[in-house]
Amino acid sequence: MALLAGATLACRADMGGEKTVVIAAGGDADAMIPMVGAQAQARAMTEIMFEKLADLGDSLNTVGDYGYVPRLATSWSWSGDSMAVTFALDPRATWHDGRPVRANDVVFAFQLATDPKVGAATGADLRGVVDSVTAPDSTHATAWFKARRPDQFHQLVYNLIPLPEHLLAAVNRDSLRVSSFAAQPVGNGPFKLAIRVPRERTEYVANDNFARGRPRLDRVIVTIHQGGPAAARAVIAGDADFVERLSPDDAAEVSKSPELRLIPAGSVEYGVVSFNFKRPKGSAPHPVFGDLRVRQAVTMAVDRATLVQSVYGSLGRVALGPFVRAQWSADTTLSQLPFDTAAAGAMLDSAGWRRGTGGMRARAGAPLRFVLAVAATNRERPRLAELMQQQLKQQGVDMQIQLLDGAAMQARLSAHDFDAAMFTWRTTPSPSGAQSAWGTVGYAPGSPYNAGGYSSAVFDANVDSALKERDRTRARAQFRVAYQAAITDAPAIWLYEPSVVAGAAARVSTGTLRQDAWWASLERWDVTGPPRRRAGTAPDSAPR
Amino acid sequence: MSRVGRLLAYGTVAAVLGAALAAPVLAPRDPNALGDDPTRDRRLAPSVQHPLGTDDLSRDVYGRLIHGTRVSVSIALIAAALIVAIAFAWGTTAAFAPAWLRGAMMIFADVVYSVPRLLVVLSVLTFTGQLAPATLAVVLGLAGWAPLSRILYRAAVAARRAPSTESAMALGVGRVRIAFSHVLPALRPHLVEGACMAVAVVIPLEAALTYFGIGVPRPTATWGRLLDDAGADPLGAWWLVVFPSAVIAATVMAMNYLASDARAPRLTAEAK
Amino acid sequence: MTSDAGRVQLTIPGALLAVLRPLGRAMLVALLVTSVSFVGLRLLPGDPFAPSPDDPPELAHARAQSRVQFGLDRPISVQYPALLGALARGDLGHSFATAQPVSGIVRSAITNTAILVAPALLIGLALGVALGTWQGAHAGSVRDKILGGATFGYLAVPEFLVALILGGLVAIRWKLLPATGMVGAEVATAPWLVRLPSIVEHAVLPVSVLAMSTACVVARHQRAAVIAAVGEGFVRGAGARGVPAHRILWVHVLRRTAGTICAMAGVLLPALVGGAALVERVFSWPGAGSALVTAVAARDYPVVQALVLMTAVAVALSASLAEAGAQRLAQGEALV
Repeated sequence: MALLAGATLACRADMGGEKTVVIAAGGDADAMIPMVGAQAQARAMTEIMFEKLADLGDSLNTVGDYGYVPRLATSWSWSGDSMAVTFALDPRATWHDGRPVRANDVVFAFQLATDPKVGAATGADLRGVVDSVTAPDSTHATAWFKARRPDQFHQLVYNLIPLPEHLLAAVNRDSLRVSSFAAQPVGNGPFKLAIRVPRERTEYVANDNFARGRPRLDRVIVTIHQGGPAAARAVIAGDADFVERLSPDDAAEVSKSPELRLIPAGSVEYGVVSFNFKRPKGSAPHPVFGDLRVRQAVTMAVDRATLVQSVYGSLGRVALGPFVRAQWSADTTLSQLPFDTAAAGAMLDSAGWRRGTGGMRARAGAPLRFVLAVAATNRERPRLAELMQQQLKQQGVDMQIQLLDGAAMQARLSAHDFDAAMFTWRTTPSPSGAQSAWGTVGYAPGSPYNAGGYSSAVFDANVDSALKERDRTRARAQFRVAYQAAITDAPAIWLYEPSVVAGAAARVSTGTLRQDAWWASLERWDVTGPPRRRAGTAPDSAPR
Repeated sequence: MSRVGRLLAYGTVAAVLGAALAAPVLAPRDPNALGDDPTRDRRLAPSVQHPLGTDDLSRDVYGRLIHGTRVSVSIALIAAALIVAIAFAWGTTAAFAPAWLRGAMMIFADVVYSVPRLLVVLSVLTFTGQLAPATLAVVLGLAGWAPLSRILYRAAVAARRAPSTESAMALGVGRVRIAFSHVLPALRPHLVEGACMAVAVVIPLEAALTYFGIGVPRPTATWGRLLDDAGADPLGAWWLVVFPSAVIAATVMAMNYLASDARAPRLTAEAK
Repeated sequence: MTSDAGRVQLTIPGALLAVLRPLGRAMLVALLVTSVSFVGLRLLPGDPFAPSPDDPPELAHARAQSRVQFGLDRPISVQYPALLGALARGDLGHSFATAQPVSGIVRSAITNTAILVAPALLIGLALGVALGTWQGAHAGSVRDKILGGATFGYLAVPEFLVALILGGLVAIRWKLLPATGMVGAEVATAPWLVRLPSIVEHAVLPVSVLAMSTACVVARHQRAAVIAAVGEGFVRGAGARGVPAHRILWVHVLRRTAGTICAMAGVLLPALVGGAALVERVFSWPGAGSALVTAVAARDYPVVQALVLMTAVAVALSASLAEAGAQRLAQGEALV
């Protein structure tokens, strides 16, 4: 007992007065070097310690450089023909080991990211837009674009993150992920890595020499849990301070607690039921969904509002098309396929699928039946699928549900081996993702993009010209035509758009969270209340 | 082993089997059917209309519990039958096999036993994705025969060495015949006990696997699925947790009781 | 040493056998598990580096790169011997998902599971033996019947449900104990003296759940064993010699049943490790069960393989040792 008491005392002295925030995450990053990790979590966990040249503003505009805020670069200037942009680096910026950040580091990062040996996640996007990066002097870096594109600036600064050349130049690029740098990366951001135990915990401490001013928090600890629900449980139980996403049930739980609060975090994702235009794994038209009338009828037989309301409550909205409301190209005035069971029934009748005994539909002896593959990586999608199944049954459509884990779902989509599939697209603030997700260019063997094989000349042409259009009003109009085609052709049921809410301990103030990246404002977070209960300190040691 | 206890146990088993068999009569409505207004009718507390309340998706818990009984009991019975059959075949074959094979077979059973069953089932199921109830039952059966096979092996060896068996063998009675006329009767109490224990083990296992999202696929109602449908917070809507857990606990208790009843037949004879 | 030579020589074969038999069994388990898991894994649908629609679009081709890096493009006839060779050298490879050495992941996962299972087994055995012995001595009393009913009823409730409800009440509703993880985030890297109270605090709930079911099983067996032993001659004899009743019970009868108790530890262990996998999941305990589920979901072949393998070997080894101990105790008993 005496030993334990002594330990508590020592601990109190250690921890007293430190501002620590514990962030619960549903999974660990797969690599701790920016641009190299292939998972979304890797972006969060590396961008905490590495700075971009410039970052998206809260408006999430991705056309031109409007709204972008300076980060590592204090300013930038364009060449007359917009084919090059030169960044002036903050001369005070240093790496965590004390060496200054120089233009060579930007050049080096571009070379590394575009080196096929590295297999950087962002390499393809960079190569597609940027021809080369040069360093006119030690504090200026110039990016040379391949062609003028409205989102060229976004693609550059979103995907290129400067790296310390002096530490990485000698590292073998084939084994970058297992290098000692990957185990203990040296960044230049507001926080630096203190201790990392993969799959368990990563600790960051404030960078006292951060050029834009020391962050308010002293320590940030990311604890790794098994999936989002487990991470949420940690926050609800008071074992952690912040979780980036709560399920609707957990959000209800959090809203009841005085020690916790909800933070609307927006989202850049939307959920769909994608129909396969072709037979699973084949090229002949799909016996059910090859027919436009059936796709439209199935869409109209599903009461999307009820589905979303039942499962998400106030935390979800019906999706509008192949985009999210947070993207600048979003359009809420498109004409939607209505929920209309009578019309749906009539369309199925006219397509030859007539009701038989037991009320189920069939055509030439073949029942109207299909399997919905569901990515069961959260609790919401299976519930949506079950509701949908019952609604379709009333229209005589026999839908079977098959739940798949993440890896199996990817395999099925990549092999184009499904009748219909329910999953979530996590996009970026730029609307350009719609091109590969639903355009003819996305459809390819072994690729999960546009796995259903939707191919519309109207959609393709309008998305393509909208992405090249520099005038936002004209681009909007072109996107509108494309989106309307994607609604009318019904390649998918545009089902839900979750409003992500984060959960946080009341004592942590986070300010507004950026819709696509909760960690973007971490340097401005603060701790205002007493330490967490059980944070290793006794309650009476709290500052009064 | 009191008379009341036995009555309760048999009563529970009869009720559960009855519910499983007569599910369509007891709950004629489709167990997956939604309420009239899924948004309004979700998570309703027990009432006259819904004696056990409704779940997250507005479905009637009573209907799902009755139909779930059918699936969960079928899984348990198939798995138990498989466990008993494999264990019986393995144990008696080993008992009558030459010494070297006998040793090898028992070591194999030991090896199978020492790999935690749940770990095996967990990894198999997470690999294959969700399985149809019958396939799940087979996996559970294949993973669980080892301990019973050892018990049956010992009993079979004892039965083989019994004077009546040895004299029958001396008289040249065929092995198969001996197995059925001399060994099987001696194994009967062990078989009954083993079967009851198997059911008592498989039922919570199915519930756990389904709860963790790797058991029987949706929307099929099973006891585990009902617990899963209760949501992440088991204290939120009590009727979603209490009824399925009570049914699981009662069934497992009854089967455990019958197992110990079978284990001590002489004792009960004395009690009478 | 020299004066004791004769005795030493006599005991070596027995001791050797006692060590060799569990080792042999563990190696058999190892070979079997490796082969089955290797084949099983490759037969599954899904690919660890298939691009995911849940990922941002720009991340797709990084995965293809990793596929080549990890040698998954080579034929199975090359992969399997390579795997066996590596295992024989003690090289478990690197994780597909995090690029960390597998040995480290597996070591910490199994250690963490042991932190739950070992105390649960010890507490469960102690509690179960105490309960069972008391019940056996007072067989038929009202309190015996109440205890019997309680253990019987407890065993009928699925363990994960007990864990969920206990966690929901004690940790989430009343906030008396932590609900997730193994150590408070703030003290996770502190010296072990500071860390220990936090680990103990986190372990209370999961260990209790596991220990309680172990105790119930043990109590039921111990009660029967005590009733049987009390009926035997030596107890009556001791009673006649005037040895106090409590001494007979707690010394003589307990010694009589020690072998059974020890054997029971070996029998209970596989079930306990299995139960721990579910309880770990409920309490986000970073043990072998949690690690297995995570690795399987990510199709992280080397980690899955190593986890199943090492857990199975550890369990087989411990179980065999417990069995050997039980035999020793039984022999000792026979000699007395």
